[in-house]
Amino acid sequence: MRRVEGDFTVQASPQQVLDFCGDLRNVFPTIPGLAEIKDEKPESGVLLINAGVSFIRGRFTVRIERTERTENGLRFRGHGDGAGNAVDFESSLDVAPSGGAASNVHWVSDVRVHGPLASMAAGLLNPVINQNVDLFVGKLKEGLEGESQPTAATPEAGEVLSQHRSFIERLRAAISRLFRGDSAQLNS
Amino acid sequence: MSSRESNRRKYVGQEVRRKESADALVGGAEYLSDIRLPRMAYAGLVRSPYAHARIKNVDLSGARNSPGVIAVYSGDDLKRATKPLAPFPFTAQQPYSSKYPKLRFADHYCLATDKVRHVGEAVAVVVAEDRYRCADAVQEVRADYEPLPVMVDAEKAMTHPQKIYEDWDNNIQYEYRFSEGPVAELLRKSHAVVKETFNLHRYTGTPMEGRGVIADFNRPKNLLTVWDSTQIPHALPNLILESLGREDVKIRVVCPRIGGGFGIKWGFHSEEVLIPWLSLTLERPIAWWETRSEHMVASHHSREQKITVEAGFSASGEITAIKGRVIVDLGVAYPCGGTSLAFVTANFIPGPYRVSNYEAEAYGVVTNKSASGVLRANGKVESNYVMERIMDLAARRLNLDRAEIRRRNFVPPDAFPYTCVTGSIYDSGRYGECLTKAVELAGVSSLREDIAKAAREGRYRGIGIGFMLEPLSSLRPNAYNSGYETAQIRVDQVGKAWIVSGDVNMGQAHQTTLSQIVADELGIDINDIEVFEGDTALLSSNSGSYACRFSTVTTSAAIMAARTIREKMLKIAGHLLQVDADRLDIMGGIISAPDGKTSITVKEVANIAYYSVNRLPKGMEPGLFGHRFFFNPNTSFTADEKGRSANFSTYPYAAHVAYVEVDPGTGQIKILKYVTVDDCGNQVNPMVVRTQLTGGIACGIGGAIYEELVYDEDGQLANSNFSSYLIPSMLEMPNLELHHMITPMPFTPGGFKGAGEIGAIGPSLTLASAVEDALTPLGIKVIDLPLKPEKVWRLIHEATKGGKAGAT
Repeated sequence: MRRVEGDFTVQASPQQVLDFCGDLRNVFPTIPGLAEIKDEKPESGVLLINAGVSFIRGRFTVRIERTERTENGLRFRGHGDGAGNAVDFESSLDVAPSGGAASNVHWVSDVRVHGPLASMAAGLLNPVINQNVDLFVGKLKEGLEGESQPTAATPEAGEVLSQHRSFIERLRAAISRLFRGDSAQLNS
Repeated sequence: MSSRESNRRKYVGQEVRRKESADALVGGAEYLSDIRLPRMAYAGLVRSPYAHARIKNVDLSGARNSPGVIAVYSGDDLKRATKPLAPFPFTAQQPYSSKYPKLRFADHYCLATDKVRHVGEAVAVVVAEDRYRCADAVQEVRADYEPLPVMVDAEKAMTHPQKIYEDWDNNIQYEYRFSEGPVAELLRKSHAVVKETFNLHRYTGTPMEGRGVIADFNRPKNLLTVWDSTQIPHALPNLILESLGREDVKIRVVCPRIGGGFGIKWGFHSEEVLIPWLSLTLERPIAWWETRSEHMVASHHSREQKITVEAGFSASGEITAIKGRVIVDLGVAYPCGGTSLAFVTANFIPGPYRVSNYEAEAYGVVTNKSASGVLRANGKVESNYVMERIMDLAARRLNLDRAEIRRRNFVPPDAFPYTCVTGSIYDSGRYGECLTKAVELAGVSSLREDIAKAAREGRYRGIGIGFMLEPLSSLRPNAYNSGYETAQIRVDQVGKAWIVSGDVNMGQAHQTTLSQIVADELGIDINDIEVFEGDTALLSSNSGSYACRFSTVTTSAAIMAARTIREKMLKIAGHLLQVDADRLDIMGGIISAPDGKTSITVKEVANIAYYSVNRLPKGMEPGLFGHRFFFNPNTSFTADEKGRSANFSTYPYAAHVAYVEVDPGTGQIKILKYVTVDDCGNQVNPMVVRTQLTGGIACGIGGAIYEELVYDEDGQLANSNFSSYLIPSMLEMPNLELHHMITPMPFTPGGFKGAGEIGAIGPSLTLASAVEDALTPLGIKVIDLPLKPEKVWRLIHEATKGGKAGAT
């Protein structure tokens, strides 16, 4: 089992972080390598993700579900398989205030990799994991901070929904642009 | 050997150039993947990423809809159509009539049905028009698993309630016990007792060509032809038919050129049933050959053992008694012959030493790892390693020279044939002389001065010595390796000889050496001989190529067959020349009388034998044909009343001396000198002996320092490719100084013993001895393998409590 964990600070309140990340539809577009969202619900989804290391590459079908929401945290569980591999993971997100409107987010992911990917040397696998984690966190922060910009007045519920949708669309477009760039960068 | 026989030896003992190298050098050698048949389709396997899991569902629909796909099958399909894999190497589920060994087999189909038990187990097969489409479609099979607890520790698995095979009462597949003499009492009374537990690591053979099978069913002939990169072609027809549950098909197995075996192709693997079944079912040729990553998880591994040895010594260093406990991590219970690891290791811990009191227990335990099977010098790397380590440690304890303590315990030359405590009959040997010669040739005395000088500079240099005994040419009761070999020779109408052997040529130069032997026996030119191997249509039986059976038994059968023909040719010549046949000899293709004037050529005799049968002696059959069987000498099929059995025919041996420097900062071992003296009996071709020894030593160095298959707690193989599984290249090989002694095998006509495996035994034990010697100032004992830099570094680090041991 590999444990990947880290912290980041985001300009959003804990509640905003939990609301944003608790709805998986917000999180899916931030996942590196996302090729297609086959099914999405606030608490679960099925994604097609292009992933791999070295010669072991392919399209993974990934199922993710939110298993728990607490006062200051979220728990997720997922399974993916593809290219003769399988990946099982359990992730958690613990959010705490970090002064002003900011929050500190501590995340942990316990990942079990099965199949040929498990045999990749850590020297090959770790840089790819780190690169993807950085991308993921960067986009998550971008999404969160975009959403948490202060507004002039308290909007009505319908307006919130409209803003939210608009944000998601902008985020998707941005991610799409980013991914094209990433691919080019990776290929170069 | 008579002087006449000696004079006849024109080729044997000479460095004849390898006949089989020319086509390989020009790219003309045909390997399995070079074979192309009309309408040939390709199979690809979907393999489990889990080490232990229940199969919930296998969805084949995505693959079936993929372009170019012909058919897709799951384990359930195969379970309906075939039977579990037949046992191997035994022909019966219960081969032994004695109490021990106890052995059982598991029901494995060629695709997993209800459960997967190791990473890489095949769960589905895809057949497509080409390999690329096949590989794409393999990705479209969706298998759902329910992960189960994983067992990766063999010792824990022995008593663990979690069973890998639900119908077994525990996880022990094989059990062997042996006891001779009052071992416990003698150990108690010994002047010194050395006891250690050795953890020997798992590694594997990595032939350049992996395993592969092509099958082609010809319905009009009802003939299934199977091309297989295997070491056991003659066992396969029976194994395939039994596993298919069919008797209605004729099977011919053909071994094309084989790009290395090392024991990995000695074993019965599921694809050897699956591909023939596909061809029978789809009625077209089907091909499959593994990728390197598949090879690492789906071909078998070897060597992983935990061995405890307790040996008692007198004050003067004589062994009083030995007790051994062997636990072999078998991985899953596939029919790869892995259980022999336990038997061979336990049987030969006493090795070349006179041991009268010995007690052993050995277990083969299943775990959720790839199957264990045979690997070059199977079980003998392990038994020699632990005993040689014990001898070094005893020498240190008793303050004796390491060579001297060995010499005091060796079986003496006048004791042969020597029946060892476990019943094996050692044929011949001059062990003390061999070790002394190696120590002298290595210049051990002057190396000691060099070590002292290096020590003054803060460097750690040391000398390792090791002696190894290699039981070869084995048999088992009720088994495919049934204790004999056979050879057919035909001299044709124009005096050319055609030899058929059931062995397979994996690089051992069979064509050259067999030609040398038969050319001498028949008195003809070596270029007038062709050798055919590994085709079941040409010969009815063979045990397979392993344990140097070729050198001991096949060559003997060939000599006997050649002598049958020689005798007949001399009779014909004597009849034609009106000379007593006993007075004739054959040299250079000419049969001549002692006067040198009366002669006839082999070609003329051959022509008469086929076309002028009226000129043959009265009542003689036409033709020149010899077909002989040769039985393994010095062996028995059944254990005696004490449980002793003799399963091997010959026992070559060698002494190795290594001089190394250990970098205390990195744990890196640099081999400065490597000297060997071996005795493989008569040498057919010294050049081939040298190359066999060199290859063996390379294997041994790989196993000692570089190669290790690492599993994590989830049963995932952490290094299934060459980026992380290191094999030695030329750069890692030291300059070898190879020396020889010759003590002919007394029980075969050629006196050959075998040189293909003994090189692989020496490096681990000799390098461990050398590293320990180099690190003597730090008081380090080297017990476990491998001697990877990080492990040696850790030993140094622990011994120095993290302090600096010296310069890097």
